[in-house]
Amino acid sequence: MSAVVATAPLALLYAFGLGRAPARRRSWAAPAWFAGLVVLAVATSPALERAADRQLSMHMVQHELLGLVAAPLLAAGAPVRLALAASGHATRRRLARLLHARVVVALTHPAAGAAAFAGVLLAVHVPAVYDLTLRSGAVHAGVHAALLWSALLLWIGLLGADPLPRRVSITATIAALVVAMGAMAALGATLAAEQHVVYAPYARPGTDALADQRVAGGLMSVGGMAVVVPLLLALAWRALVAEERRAAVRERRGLPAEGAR
Amino acid sequence: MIDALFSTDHKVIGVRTAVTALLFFLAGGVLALLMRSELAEPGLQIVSHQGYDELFTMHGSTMIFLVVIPVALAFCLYLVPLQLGAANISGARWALVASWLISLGGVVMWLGFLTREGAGSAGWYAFDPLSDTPSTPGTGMDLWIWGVVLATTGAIIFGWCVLITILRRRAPGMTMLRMPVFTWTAFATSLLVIFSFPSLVVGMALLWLDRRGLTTLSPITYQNLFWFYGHPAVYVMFFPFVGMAAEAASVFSGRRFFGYRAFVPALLGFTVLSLSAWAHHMYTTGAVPVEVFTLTSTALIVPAGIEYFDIIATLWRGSIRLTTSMLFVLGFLVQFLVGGLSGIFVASPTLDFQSTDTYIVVAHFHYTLFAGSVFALFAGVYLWWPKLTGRRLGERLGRVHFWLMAIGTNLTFLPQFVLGYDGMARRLPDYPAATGWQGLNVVSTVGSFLIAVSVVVFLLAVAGSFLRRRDATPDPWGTGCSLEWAAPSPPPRGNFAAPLPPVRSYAPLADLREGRAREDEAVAVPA
Repeated sequence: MSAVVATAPLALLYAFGLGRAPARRRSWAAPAWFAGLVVLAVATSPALERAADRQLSMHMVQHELLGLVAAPLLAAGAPVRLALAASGHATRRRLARLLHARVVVALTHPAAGAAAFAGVLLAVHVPAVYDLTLRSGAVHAGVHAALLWSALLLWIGLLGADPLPRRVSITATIAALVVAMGAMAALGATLAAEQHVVYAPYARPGTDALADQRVAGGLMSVGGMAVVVPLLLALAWRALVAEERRAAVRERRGLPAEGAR
Repeated sequence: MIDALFSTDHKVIGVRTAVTALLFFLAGGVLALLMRSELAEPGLQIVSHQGYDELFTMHGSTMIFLVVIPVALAFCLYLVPLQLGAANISGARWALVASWLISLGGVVMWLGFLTREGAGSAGWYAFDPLSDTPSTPGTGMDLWIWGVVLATTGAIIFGWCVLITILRRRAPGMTMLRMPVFTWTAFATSLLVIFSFPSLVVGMALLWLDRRGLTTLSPITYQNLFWFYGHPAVYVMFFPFVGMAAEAASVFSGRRFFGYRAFVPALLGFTVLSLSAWAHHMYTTGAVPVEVFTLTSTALIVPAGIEYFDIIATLWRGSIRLTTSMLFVLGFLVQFLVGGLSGIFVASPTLDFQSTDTYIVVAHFHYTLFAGSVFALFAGVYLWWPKLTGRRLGERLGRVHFWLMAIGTNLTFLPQFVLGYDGMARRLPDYPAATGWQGLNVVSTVGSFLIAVSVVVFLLAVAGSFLRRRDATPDPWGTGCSLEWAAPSPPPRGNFAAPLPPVRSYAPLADLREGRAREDEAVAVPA
């Protein structure tokens, strides 16, 4: 129920924007946004919450849905771009000024996104913090919000679906993805290799918490790789092809090659 | 003389590193022959148990840290600037230091034989606690650690030099997607070296502190650190050699490399995946999630298959010349297949639990490293020898070299699969006569001596080559595709005597021959 309460207004607001904005060519933004909201609703649904309280592996699934599926889909939904298109002249100017604020420029840099993502991910899995989230519903919700927002920062910077104040270089993109994947792999490997139950509340009689912890670790590393590796390769390949295409255009026009002296 | 030792020319550094590696190859080969002689019959004839431990440790360490990795990087150092149309490597003075670090590391490691307790004897991966002071006392083991640190530091510096050269020193028009196949493999190699090799340096430092009694090292931590280096290192010992085989296949089929735009993404995927497969060396520790690493290890089949397909498709309908280099390419293709397919077996936990530490593993990695990589290396040596020296390398002796080596290799390592299947454990100098293993062991020993003879034939061919005249043209094979074949043979300092041909694809020389580019568009060599 809470999930629907949270996501329904976002869906309505986006739909309202779509109605106001001038008709655009078909884009993936709207489907991505609504799919992202659905994933968000599933990830925070009571059924999954209950399962996550019982099993670490389900909790890891929850975290990965938030950070690796919902967040990139919402970022691809480009809500700011839609807001710009749907609003009047004055609002648009105010929004644009906000986008160029120094703090926004700094936060949307992939370095900030990667640091936030890796930092939050590792911090919330420290046993003391984690045990607290299992005891208090408010802390738990806060942790999930932190996971989602740090992931949003990363993906907004990387995907560039929303208008960003600057172009992100391919090197920075790759570095950010490697940091994000490294954090997930390190967390997953640690969980999988531990010989005792890391989070005490899971060690209940009648359950094999250690085996489940190993599965959880595997899910964390494999999930990270399954999303990041294909994306990394796709982005690198796109940059290579773009460089090749630029060179071909210059050669057709008889211009000297880039960097020629 | 001074120039050969202290020049900052990438070609001099590359050749000196390769020659040093060749010397260590001969030394490591002698250790192998001693081991094979010991195993030819049950009982102890030549060495003690301790002596045998030193033999297999130093053989493995020498071949990996001082031969295959340095020679792979030496080829990158020599060829990458030439293939990119650059005058020298980036960070040439760093590269000079690195080459001496590797040589120094080798000497330090081998000095262990002069110590009272002998050389390092804890296996090439020196698992803790086997490698700690109570189990392996003595200075030899410490020297081994520092030898590894020095050689690996040198390799890391080489990796950076190659990477930065590729990023910064490409000739005008040479986009990343026009780099020759070998340079792409050098790019992937340098990334792996930079990412994974520091992990070994850290592991060795921790091991040394543990031996001093200053810290206590967790065995699993050590193994994780070691294999996070050790598995990518396998691809450092594979990628450049695939690149050599690919270039040789292209030159001696008379056509440009097939499927370039499949090869490059496959290679990049290979690189990323190979960083995530390390713990398949640790299945039997019970401390790693086997499912995860089975998945990543088995997924490596896909990019490997694409690369294989591309090389074979390059041969398809080409006008093939069966030169010595081409013979080695074919040997590589067939034999590496055996190594690769047996790798699928040991990537599967159920089979790995049975075969770990048996001769199956020994046969598997010798088929990849020796029958695979070293064969491709010789393909590269015969291909680029006229470029390096301006002289031909005897084809008739070369053929003898190939056939002796091919027969010797399969005689040596094929029986080891059967021995492993029968339960013979690796790293033991002795086995009971009642096991009936002697017959196959004798075959294996005979094979190893055949390999030794083939190496002598190679050295004769090298000696013979220096008696010939320098008469190689820039493109002695007539079918070169990449820029190194536009430089004089041997290339002068600064590499290119004439302006570079225009670079419009990954095969600029083939473009010129086929009239797809015009000679008057030639560009000056960037300084």
